[in-house]
Amino acid sequence: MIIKDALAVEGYAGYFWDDQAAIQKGAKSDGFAYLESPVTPGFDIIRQPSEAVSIMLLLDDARIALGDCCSVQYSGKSGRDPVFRSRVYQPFIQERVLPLLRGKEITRFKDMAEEFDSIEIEGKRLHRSIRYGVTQALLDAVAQSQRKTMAEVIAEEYGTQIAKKPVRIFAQLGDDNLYLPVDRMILKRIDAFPHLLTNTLDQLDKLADHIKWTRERIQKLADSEYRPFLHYDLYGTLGKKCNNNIPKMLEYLKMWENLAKPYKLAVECPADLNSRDETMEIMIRLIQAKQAAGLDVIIIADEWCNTLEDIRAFVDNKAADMVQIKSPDLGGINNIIEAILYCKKMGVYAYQGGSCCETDISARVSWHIALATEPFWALDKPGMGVDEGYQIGMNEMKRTLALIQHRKRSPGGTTIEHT
Amino acid sequence: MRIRDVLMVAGLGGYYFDDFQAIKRGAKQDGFFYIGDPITPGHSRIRQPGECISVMLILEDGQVGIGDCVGIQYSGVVGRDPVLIAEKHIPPLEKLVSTSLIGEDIKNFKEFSQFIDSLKINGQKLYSWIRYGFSQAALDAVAKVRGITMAEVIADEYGLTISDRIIPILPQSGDDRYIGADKMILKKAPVLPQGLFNNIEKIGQKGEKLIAYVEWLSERIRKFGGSDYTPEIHLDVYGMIGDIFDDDIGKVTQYLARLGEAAKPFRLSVESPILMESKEKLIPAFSRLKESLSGNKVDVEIVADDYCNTLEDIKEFVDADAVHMVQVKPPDLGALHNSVEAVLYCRRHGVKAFLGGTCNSTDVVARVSAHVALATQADQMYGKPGMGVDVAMQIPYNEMQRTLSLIKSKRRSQN
Repeated sequence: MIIKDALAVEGYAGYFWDDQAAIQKGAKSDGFAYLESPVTPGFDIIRQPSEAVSIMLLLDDARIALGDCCSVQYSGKSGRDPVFRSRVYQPFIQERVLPLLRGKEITRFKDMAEEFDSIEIEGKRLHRSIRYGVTQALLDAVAQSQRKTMAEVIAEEYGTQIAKKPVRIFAQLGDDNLYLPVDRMILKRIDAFPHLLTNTLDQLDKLADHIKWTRERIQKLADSEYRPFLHYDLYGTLGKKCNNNIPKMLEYLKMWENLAKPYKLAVECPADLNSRDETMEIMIRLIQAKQAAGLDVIIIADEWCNTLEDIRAFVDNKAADMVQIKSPDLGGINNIIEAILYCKKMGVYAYQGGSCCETDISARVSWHIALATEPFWALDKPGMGVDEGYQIGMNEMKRTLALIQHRKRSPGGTTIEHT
Repeated sequence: MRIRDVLMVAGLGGYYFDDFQAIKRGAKQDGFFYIGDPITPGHSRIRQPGECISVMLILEDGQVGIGDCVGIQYSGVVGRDPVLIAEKHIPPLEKLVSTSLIGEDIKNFKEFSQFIDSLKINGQKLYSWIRYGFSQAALDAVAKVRGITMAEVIADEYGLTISDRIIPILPQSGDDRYIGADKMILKKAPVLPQGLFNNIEKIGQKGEKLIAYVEWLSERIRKFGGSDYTPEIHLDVYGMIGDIFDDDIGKVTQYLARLGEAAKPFRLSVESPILMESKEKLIPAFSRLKESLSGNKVDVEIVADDYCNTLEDIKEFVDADAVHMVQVKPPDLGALHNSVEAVLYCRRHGVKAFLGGTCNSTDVVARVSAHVALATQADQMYGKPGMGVDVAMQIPYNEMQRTLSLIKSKRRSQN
């Protein structure tokens, strides 16, 4: 199978990019919008509709393989690639990237993805969003040429077992309402939530109330068999609040863990210091201390843990119980697969993350990755609406499992079944 | 190409099923939940997760045509199909699938969709949402077999010219009508915000709250939208305007004129401004209202939704020149060719066609809808799935972008 032609079109992505630098400088919101001027290059307004570039590979048997180049909510932040404006990158992709794909033969996903992921143009690697989107399309192309699901292709090439049931889904809420989305998550019996971005000390002080409210809400509105994980993203505020004093931080963790009971607590990024090494060091001490204190809380690494190499460092040093693997930030999806498998091999929970600013296409690919690699949980995406991302994930996983089961049972037969 | 097998999977819809009867009887809300016992059969709670049956037609060559059977938010009410409970509704379909679908040759979307419409279980036609889902899968299968897009299949079979531009998407704000509208303005939605004005509390005893909302919205668009952004305002008012003015056409006209003023400089459409207890009463009332609006030079358009559930219903509204625009609701119309034909009928007779649907749709339905909208050149379409605005805009918009670009590239390579 040959890639006969390749196209790239501009589209929406599933949420908004926020100019975090401007917001941190104290920009005031007006409803959902911000009136002040943005600070970070690439933003026209502080809260900017996120954009995507959709890649289509036209195969020589008229099939079309899809992948979406998209990025994260806090784009353009220090250390990250520039904001992925489609009006800038669509022409770039068209002129510089698509010619590299046309005429290529579809072989193995892993080889093709690794090759593409490491391409340099004018001495620079491609924007991570481009690597993310094109490698999705390559996976889709390999799957279509083999008449298999994307999950099966990954499982075969990486020697993994496909999950027997849908992987746990983790849902996040946006900042415009901290309560109603939690109700939706409970109604839909979502496995882990609510993320609750806690990036100021003021919000940190209110966290205990939110945990208590959430626990009571679950107990009031759901049956006792439902045991979700409660997950909070602390953005380093706990360390800040406690001057990174471990015993003090432990007191908070203990209080929250008790408030969450009988549900299990997970906290992301309790401390964020000036470098990866310093952050890892305090995370290591915190994990040792919480184990010594007999606490059950799951500590998740996020900041300073952006690339495959960072993830390996956190895992090797036992600087996290769980690592967030942030899809678009890792570039090619081959890196995401490797990162999840590395965590699992080393006994660290893998959290397949990503962004509200992704699309239906990148989300569907992500669910195939999840089925083939079985992370501990994976993010409900795109958007912040809870329902849409959950629907996409659950249905894609269920369809894929049904197709795989069907093929195993009747390779050519005519049985009917349902799941 | 023959169908080798059919799989049906119990999946989720993009929103919730609400027990309309229980809510009407005054069920109390607690956060996003409703407290109390459900009344409508199929509801285990008053508000429960929307479900779907995802249908996969496995073809002889291993390709898979996908379609989703989705239920509407208020289903199971009198005269409508029951609430879609996937686990319950899949087993009875199995026999039908094995006797009527497996082994069938699938060549033409329209013919296969008509065939699905004609299928029966125990002498009964299939529920409209089942026909809807299976016919989507048929369209996808035909497109895959022919190696063209779903839009091209429809256009080819019906002799249509595919739109050369994106069909305007109306996202639904639901009750989140302030933040939701802000998101739509930031994303420059061409039509906004639906608004879900379904009770007196929301529009005010004399409609004053609705006017205040439209004034707010119009100002908001001017403040945040930029000067090149001139969207249309589309409100769904569930007959509430008729309610507060006892269906007095003159008073409703005056009120719509005020609402139109409040919307300026943006154009206004109002869905279901009045509602009667039957289609036979509603159609002439709509006709009088439409005449009254034009007689009084009120530049507000009215849109039909209720009692407009089948292709035949839609033809009646169109033939009576009762409204400016009709909402075509695909899950209610059964197999998908009916929706295609309904949109075409409206357009041929000078009535605008709004390809609607439900927030309980899925990503699969959203992508199919994008193709139907492009092929039939509908005047506008609902964003879907869900009520979260962003994803409902992203999925159909990107699908249309991809489709238009594929078609263009094909034309280029042919020339």
